[in-house]
Amino acid sequence: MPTRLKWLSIVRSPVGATATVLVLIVALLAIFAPLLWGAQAEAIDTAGTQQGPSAEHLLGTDALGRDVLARVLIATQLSVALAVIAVVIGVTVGTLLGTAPSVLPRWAARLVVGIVNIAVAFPGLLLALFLAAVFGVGATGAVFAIGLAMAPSFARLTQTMSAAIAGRDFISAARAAGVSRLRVLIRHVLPNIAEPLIVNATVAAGGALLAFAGLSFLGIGVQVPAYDWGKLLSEGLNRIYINPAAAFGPAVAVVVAGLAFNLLGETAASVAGGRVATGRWTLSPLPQPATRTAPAFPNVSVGTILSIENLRVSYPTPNGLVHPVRGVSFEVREGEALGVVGESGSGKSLTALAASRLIEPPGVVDADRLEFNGIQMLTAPEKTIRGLLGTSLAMVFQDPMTSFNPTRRIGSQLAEAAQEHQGMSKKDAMKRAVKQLQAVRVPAATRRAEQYPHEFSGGMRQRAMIAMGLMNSPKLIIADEPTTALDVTVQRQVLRLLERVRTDTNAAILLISHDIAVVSQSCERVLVMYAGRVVEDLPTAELYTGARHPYTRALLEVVPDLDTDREQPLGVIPGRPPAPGEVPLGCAFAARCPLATVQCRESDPELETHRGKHRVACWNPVGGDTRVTLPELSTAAPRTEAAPVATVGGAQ
Amino acid sequence: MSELRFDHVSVRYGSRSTGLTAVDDVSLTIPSGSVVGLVGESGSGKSTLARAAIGLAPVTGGAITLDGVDVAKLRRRHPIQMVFQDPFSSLDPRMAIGESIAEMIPRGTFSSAAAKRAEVGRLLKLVNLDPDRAGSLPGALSGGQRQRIGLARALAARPEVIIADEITSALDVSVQGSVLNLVRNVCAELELTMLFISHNLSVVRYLSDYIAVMYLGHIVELGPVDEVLNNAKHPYTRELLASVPTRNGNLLAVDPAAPMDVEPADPHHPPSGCRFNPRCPIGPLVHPERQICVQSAPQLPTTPGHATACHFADLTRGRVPQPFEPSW
Repeated sequence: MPTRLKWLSIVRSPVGATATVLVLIVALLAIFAPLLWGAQAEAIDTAGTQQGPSAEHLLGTDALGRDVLARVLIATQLSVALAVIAVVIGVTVGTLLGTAPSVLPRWAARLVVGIVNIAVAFPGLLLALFLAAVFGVGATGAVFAIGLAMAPSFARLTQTMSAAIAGRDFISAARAAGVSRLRVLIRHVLPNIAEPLIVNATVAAGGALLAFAGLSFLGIGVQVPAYDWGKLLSEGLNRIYINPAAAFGPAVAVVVAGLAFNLLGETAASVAGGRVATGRWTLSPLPQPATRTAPAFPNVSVGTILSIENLRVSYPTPNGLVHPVRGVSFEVREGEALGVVGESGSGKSLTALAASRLIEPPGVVDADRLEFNGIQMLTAPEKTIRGLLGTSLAMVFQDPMTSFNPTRRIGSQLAEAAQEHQGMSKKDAMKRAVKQLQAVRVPAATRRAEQYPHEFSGGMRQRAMIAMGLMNSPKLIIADEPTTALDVTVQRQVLRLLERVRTDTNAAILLISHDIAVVSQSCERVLVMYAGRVVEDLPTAELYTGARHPYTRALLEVVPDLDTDREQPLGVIPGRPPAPGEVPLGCAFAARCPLATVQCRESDPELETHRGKHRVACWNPVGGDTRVTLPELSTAAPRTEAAPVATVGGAQ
Repeated sequence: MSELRFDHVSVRYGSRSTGLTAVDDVSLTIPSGSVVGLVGESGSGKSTLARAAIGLAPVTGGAITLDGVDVAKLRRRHPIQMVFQDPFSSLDPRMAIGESIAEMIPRGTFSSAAAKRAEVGRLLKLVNLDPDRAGSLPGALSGGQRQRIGLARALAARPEVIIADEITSALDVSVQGSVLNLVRNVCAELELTMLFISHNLSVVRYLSDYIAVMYLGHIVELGPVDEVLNNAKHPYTRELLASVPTRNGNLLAVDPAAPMDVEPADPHHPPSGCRFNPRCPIGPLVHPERQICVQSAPQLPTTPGHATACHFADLTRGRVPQPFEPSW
């Protein structure tokens, strides 16, 4: 979302609006108060000293009869200015100290890091008091004291953030081209850490304001005749029992200005960090999908383990709902290996997550039917779903490191699943865990069960993940890119393991992959997804010979193989898939399809049975008899309703 | 002429006790104007070797030379440039792409800012991007477009050698082809020498003239690409080839002799002798009498042509995995 839009939506939020109003008030006062009430604040009235609140002096008068309210308002300028100057000093010194290690020679860098680390450990206000004593009593001393006290924490922040940036490849690229370290720092590192620095500086300004009030209150800050809120507070406090309003006024001013700075920082942080409320409409209930039509097949056929009909996944965005999955229907039969392929953003992973009800809010899942092993997943209570996961439904993810708890031994994590769902004793569960690790061929399973996840290599972790799924004899294993992070040799081992599990336990497997070759080698049937829809569903045996959707054909064309002709350029699918919010009216692939016609651009073809178990969603399927004549037919079709009648091409 | 030569190069990280030799005594020559494909699994040291060539990894033994001159002495010229794997981390998100490219142009090449801008435009056109996009930030570009910028940026430094480290592994297959075609055409046109690193054998085969297979810091097989792929001699290369998912292959086929489920070796504690021996289907696990594999590390012959670092390489020929019928 563009930054300007983000700011707008921020300003509309309650916190953002409050921050904006408060900051505006403080800023206006700082600029205009001395012009408006200057004379009043300096007017000495010996007759009316130390008066209480009255219509003339809302907060009373001080020891010289000057109006306290006017003085509080005028003190805004000095108080805010001192705070801002201190922050500028703190941020500048901190940034210099924090970035120095990346340009200094190694020994000097270590020295700077050491000093900063010690300074960070020292309490800030104590440091300020110490420095105030060093620089002498007065506003200048206080500014330096507070500014320098702030520097170590900024130095540390800068160091940490620059270290994170320094590991990125664009820094390597610049260094490989001989760009000097100072230049790398100024041109690459600083711009990338500026945002969080500014956010922190804004929050720190609120803190500086309080610190100044504290120092002036203690008498080592601003000295007479100048005055800031701390000074006024200390004057007012001397006679708090006579005129509480004189202390109350500056106190409120400090709180309001401090709040203004802090809220501004918070607001800036939420813009920078992307924590933006996604717009007004998220607060209202999400639009419900149109009334459900009755499922085409009233009963799930025997032997079907997972039945999905017209599955939709929607996410709210500032521009309205988008549908990354738009009406997916398929069935998985007992013991079947079904592959789902598609490019990133095709909705294949979301489909798998939706099937197991693992989509987190604000995502919304809707379907005409979502039935697993006889359970209606959409209406089943949360408890039933949780019972399913880890028992009859196993999930294997791309990165098994994030799926295991890093602080617990592999064996006990596996055993936990059996203890929880089958009520096994700890000892029996542990035995079963070892047995399952052996079943997935983890060498030395008894010893490995005692190890932590980080002691496992990627391939072994993926085995352990599969073993965990097998603890409770699952009926379906959903594997989402289980081998993408693995080397090809290990990939082959994991695919073989899944195949062995399937033949041994008759568990069905839903394998999601971006690699059509992997799926064609390890599954019986393949679903090809594009822009949130299934465009083709066919047996893998027919994949290379009988695929009819131009996208499936194109995918097969562009993947280089060990016998690709090296004299020819590699195949390319021009263009890119539409973003979820920009799916066109007709077939989503039409813009990239060499066979697209007017009909394709105007209406989206249904996934229809071509022959036997082969389904395809295309107006002009490749290889059909009607392929040549179809374009004419469809251009002749009426613009508004490109009736499915025109789909003679193979649709039954 | 620009021949890149790795001469007994070692790269070692960390201290003596906890350190790791990522690249161990590797010798490899990339003839001028040719493409050498480097394959191997993660942790085999292939990226470390590449980073050593551009000075991003410490060369602790041996030398890397370009036409006989140590590359460490060529730092002013930067004749070796790299295209990185991750298109999202290899471009500064705060810098317009034109600026990123201009930064790499050697100082003093162009006197005026206009000439520099024209050069950026020329480079963008060279990688099939609209020169008018020089002002866009990387965030506005797709992964494939970013990889083209990565290539343009490397070319801006007027390199003689390009190192491409897994440049398509983060891309979707539908755009992979366009990046590979581009790299191939540009390198041929500019007569660049290239080290092309990938874990994908099909991609390496398509682009390379020679192929080098790395395993745990060693090069185990080296030779002209067709020779190595059609007549692989090292058991590791054969295992790699059998693991590539292809339309005609059979991934689920089981070779009954192979010790399949052995864990990859720990690079911190490499096995003695031949580093592949704990996984080797023709090694001491299967043939207990072959103790030489545990006792001594086979050397890669320095003769030109197809070379294999294996004690029993010549005995493996003709051995194919037994076909296995899946249950359906």
